Amino acid sequence: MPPLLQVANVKKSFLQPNQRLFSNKKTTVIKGVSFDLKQGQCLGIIGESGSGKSTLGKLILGLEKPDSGKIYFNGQDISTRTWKKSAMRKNISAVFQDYNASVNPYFTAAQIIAEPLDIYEKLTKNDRKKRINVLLEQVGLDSSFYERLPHEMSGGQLQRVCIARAIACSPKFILFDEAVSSLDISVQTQILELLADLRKQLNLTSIFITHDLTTITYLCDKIAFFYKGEIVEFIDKIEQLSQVKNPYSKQLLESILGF
Amino acid sequence: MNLNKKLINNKTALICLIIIITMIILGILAPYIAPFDPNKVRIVRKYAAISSEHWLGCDHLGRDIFSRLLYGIRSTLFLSLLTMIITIIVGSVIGLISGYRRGKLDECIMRLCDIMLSFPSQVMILAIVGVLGVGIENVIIANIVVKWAWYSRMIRSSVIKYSRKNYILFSRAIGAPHSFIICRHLLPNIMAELVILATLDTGWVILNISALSFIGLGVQAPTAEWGLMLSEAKNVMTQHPMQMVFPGIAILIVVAAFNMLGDCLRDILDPKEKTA
Repeated sequence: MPPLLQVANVKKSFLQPNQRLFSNKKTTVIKGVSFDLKQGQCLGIIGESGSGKSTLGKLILGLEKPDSGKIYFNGQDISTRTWKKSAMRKNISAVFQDYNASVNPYFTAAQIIAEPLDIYEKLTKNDRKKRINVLLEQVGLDSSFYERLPHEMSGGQLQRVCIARAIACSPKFILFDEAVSSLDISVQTQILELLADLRKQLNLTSIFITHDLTTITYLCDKIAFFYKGEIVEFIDKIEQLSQVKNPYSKQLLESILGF
Repeated sequence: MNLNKKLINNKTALICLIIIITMIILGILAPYIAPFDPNKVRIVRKYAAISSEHWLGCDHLGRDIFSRLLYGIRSTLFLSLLTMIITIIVGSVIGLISGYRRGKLDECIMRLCDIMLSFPSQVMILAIVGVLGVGIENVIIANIVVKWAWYSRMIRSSVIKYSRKNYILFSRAIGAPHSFIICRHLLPNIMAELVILATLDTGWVILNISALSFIGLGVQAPTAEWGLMLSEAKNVMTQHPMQMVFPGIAILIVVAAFNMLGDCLRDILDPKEKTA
């Protein structure tokens, strides 16, 4: 079976800010990253802030163009126009870190969740309502949330709404960019349990971008250690986590396990 | 629905809105409710005092001031609103394109804006009217030329600010069409800021048109216009001070209503603001 997501030698650099006029100095953020992900697998990308992992996420989502290298989804190059226009795009979805900025403050929970549905599935009013209620239930919220505005919900509830939106069109792949990092510990556990459940139910392929190892050990079966724009170590099976070789990954593990 | 409720709860906003709407209705109905023809000259009634026949007296040509004020709404208020609407549309379209497309086009538009904004606006208006000639059409054109860049800048920076928000990133990631992102995400967010600015600025435009008419560059006699009425009254300011009072008050009320409404809308349109 071909990999669902294939990242091939992707590089990305940015012009240094406020230097556009007088120089062309570039900062390389991603220095040649490659990996494959098969259907149903879950990859954790761990690295410190500023290591470029969020940029990698944006490249995978097609929000930024790589300088060189290609990203294939289901065998199709995501930088082409045919991909950009195809309905296949509904198979890629995302959940972001900052749940407050992740939703339009003028939208109700129902409108937020319905966004992908409205774009890809033309549902009748009744079906749409039913679908939204099913999705709310799937993420552990009841139908009383239907008309709520973002500022009337707590962080955990809002992140659940974001997850409902992400799974609305039953995508094959979801990118979680620090999806639980800004929640407090007890809510984090609830969300992680929810994600583990959903993953089993929907046979999701996913990437977790995080700086927190516990999230990864809970959900992922592959780990990439990301350091200064490169994958310094790739672990295929979570059980081999203790056998890391790279000094950076070792240091990271020790700093966490040391507690 | 929620918005209407908030508007009704906010007394100041409601009063301002009622004043503005009343003015607009009076302006539309001017031919039916004005007791006299605004341009009918009756020298015998020159500087007539306030009476039951002439509610606000008569001006230096014996024209009924109340009727002229009513007709003045048409020129002053309606032309200002027209100017405002055109400015907003031109400014927002350019700003949206600039902020949404980015790149070279954005750079070109913004440098053009910089040039426009580096002129003092009053001087620019006088220059444009000077070149195009005296007349209200040219005053409107001058106002638009001076103001569009200001709106474009504002809209562009809002578009860029909101484009970085995660919900727009999400929409782009799942391949939402541009029309969806612009109409559902960008416009509602920008609209709040735009409405506030436009309301606050309408006062500025009214003053501007009146001021230009006052110095004889805008609306031409004998058309009834508040600024022009003030200008005609200033010649006899010492002998007949009442002549200046009514057009002055009219301008004051309308400009103040727009400014205060703008302030209140700022509070009302914030989605985080709880209903009182």
